[in-house]
Amino acid sequence: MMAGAMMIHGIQPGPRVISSNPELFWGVIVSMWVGNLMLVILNLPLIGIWVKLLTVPYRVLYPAILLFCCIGIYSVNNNIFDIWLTAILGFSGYLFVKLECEPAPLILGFVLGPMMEENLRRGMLISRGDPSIFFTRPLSLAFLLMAFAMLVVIAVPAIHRKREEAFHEEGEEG
Amino acid sequence: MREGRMELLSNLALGFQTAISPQNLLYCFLGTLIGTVIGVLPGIGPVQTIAILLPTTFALPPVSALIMLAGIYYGAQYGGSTTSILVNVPGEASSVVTCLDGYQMALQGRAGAALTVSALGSFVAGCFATLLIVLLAIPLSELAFKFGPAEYFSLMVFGLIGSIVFASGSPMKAIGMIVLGLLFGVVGTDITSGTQRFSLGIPELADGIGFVPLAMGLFGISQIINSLEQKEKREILKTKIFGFWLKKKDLKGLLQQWLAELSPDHCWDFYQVEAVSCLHLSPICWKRRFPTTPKALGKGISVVLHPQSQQTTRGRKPHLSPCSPWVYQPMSSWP
Repeated sequence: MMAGAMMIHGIQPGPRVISSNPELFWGVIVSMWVGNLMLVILNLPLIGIWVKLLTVPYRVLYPAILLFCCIGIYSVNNNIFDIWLTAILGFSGYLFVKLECEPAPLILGFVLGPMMEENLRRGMLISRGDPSIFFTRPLSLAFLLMAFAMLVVIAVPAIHRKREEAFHEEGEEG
Repeated sequence: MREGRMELLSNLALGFQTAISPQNLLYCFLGTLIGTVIGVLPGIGPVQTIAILLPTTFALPPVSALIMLAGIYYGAQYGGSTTSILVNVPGEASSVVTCLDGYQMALQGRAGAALTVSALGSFVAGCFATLLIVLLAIPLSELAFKFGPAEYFSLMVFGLIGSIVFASGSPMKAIGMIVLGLLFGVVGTDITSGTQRFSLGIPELADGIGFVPLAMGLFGISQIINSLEQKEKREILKTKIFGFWLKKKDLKGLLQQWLAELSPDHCWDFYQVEAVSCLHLSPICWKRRFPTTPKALGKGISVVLHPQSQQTTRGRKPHLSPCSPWVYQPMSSWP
């Protein structure tokens, strides 16, 4: 989410942020301390207000939020189409919730996808169309290997669980 | 080594300069405030809050915008824990466990103390997390100079696969969602050739799908639709909230808990538990395995703190894995 927000503000997310925008990186880090401190100081006396807020019925609350969302989206590009798009995506998002699919990976794919494409093409241009560039450069190879290792880590518990489930079912029958 | 330390200090000084400027302080304040207001609403978590409030930060310079967004994020987390303590409805997925203990404490008339603990836990864990980032940042930034296109590509592959690990639920579904996201990202004009891809002849899609509509739709709007389904049933504690100050006994327990967390023993266990992906509830598992720890689950302060601190360090949803039967039960009995 933060990566996407950074892109909107014209900063390419990635390890280079630290050196190219030092005041941004360190500023945000320090502001986390400041902000957390503010939370503690600010919120303890204000809890009463939050509790009041909870008594506002949903039928008032949610339309207000929706209206606020629409204004926000419209103001980004002054474009009605974006509101339609949001509505459509909202319903598909609801569908995803029902299907128990998490939207977070989707967002990440959406943010990283175009950057990935660009770098893939650039890398292939540099190597004149030879894909081995991704495996011969040590850092690149290391990342790919780590990615592979992670895939294995994901796969192993899943298989394990399947086996355990089968085991359990057998046990119940017996 | 000494040089590195000096660099760290000067960097932090730069950070303080940026963060303490009146403008940024104001945005940080606004962020935490608005974040809490939205986060208090049941069903709307930090991510949703950011999605909803994303456009409000548009007019700001990037630094202030990110500071405000960060503020919104932990404001929303804190708001979520307030809801779960007082109403016993988790404001968001990661405060499920806060509900278990926090509400119990509130019933015992100690809502104030529970709220204080959750705020303190959030604070301490937040500080700890930022410290970790700071320590990692400098070696990372040195590495960045060695990055070419090939490295970036591989790093992103790594990142995408990593997101499968962080997604709760079935890995297959997460992979499907990633592919769908990549497809959404393809929509628009090809960078080099200028060809239209998947824009369906709609001129507005020529620039691709915007991040704001996508984020707000998928996280914000869908969550609101989902909340409409649930019955409006909120029993707010009528008792007056008082006694924010912790008792001496509680403080002692807290310190013990924190120290225990820092011990290598726990770190190792944490790592192991992480490997079987029940990260969020690991302290509970831990307590089960080491029952000598003097804590009364379901009544005490410890668990309010725990998920809270983990929430901030990890910033992610809990994995409701089979090793946490405690969570399964209350989950099914939610309204």
